[in-house]
Amino acid sequence: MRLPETRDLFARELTFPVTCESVVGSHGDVELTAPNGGAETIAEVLGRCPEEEFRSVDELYGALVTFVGDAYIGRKFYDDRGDQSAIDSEEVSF
Amino acid sequence: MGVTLVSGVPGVGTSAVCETARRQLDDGYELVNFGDIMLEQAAANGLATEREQLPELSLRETRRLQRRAAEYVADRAGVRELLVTTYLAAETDEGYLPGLPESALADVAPERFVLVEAAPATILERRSQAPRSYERSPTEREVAFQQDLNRAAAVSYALRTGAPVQLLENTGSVEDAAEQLAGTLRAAAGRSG
Repeated sequence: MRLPETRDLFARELTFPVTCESVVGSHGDVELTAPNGGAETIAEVLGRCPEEEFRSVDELYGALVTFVGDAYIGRKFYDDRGDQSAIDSEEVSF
Repeated sequence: MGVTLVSGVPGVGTSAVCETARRQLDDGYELVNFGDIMLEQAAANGLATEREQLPELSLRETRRLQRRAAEYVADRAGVRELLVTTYLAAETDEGYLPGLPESALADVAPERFVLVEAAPATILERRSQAPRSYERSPTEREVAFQQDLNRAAAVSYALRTGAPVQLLENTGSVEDAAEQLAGTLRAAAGRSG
């Protein structure tokens, strides 16, 4: 699954605070798919995380984003959808 | 399938209410956090790996991430009823910006907005006891201003989409507010089904 899908999973199936060990035990096999291709399991990602406990979904999600592998990290400003300059001319005000 | 956008200022308890409501709903629903998607995209583009870094991004980068997040929501909305938490007025280093610029609003196509609110003093009290740290400690006036901005943004979006705005007071227990939110979603699904 994509990383943002984990919020629903964690909200439904975990009770916080939760230990890192417990997350790996219950959901370690879940495979996270990078937007640019590649995948690794939650156990692999949290294996690089020094935190022992997560107090909220936000903390757990933050740890996953921080410790995902190189497959997740793309080139800065890379855009596979062509020129997006029109976005910058949109109205900003309310 | 539809999108319900739920928003509240930091500390009001939006996440707790939505997570509790989600547990009361069946597999036809999905809880999505707009900031999660922006952060995933920011990491994928080498821009940020922590939520606290998002307000530091340039306007151009922020807009691009918002657009990507909106596309993600649009895709997921084709599969399930979505409960999407987001900041309708997002704080950046340059000031507050609409959380959903025009193109993103069109992609997300919300069916309703739910504003989670509480008294500013209550929000500040919750922030001081929350299991997370906040970057700043705003005054009651700032919290009230943020809630006003949230309302203004919601009405602005409602004018453009025709989606109604509902108030959800989170002044008592999280369970009470969550039950009310889950009931709103079930009723809406019943009307559309």
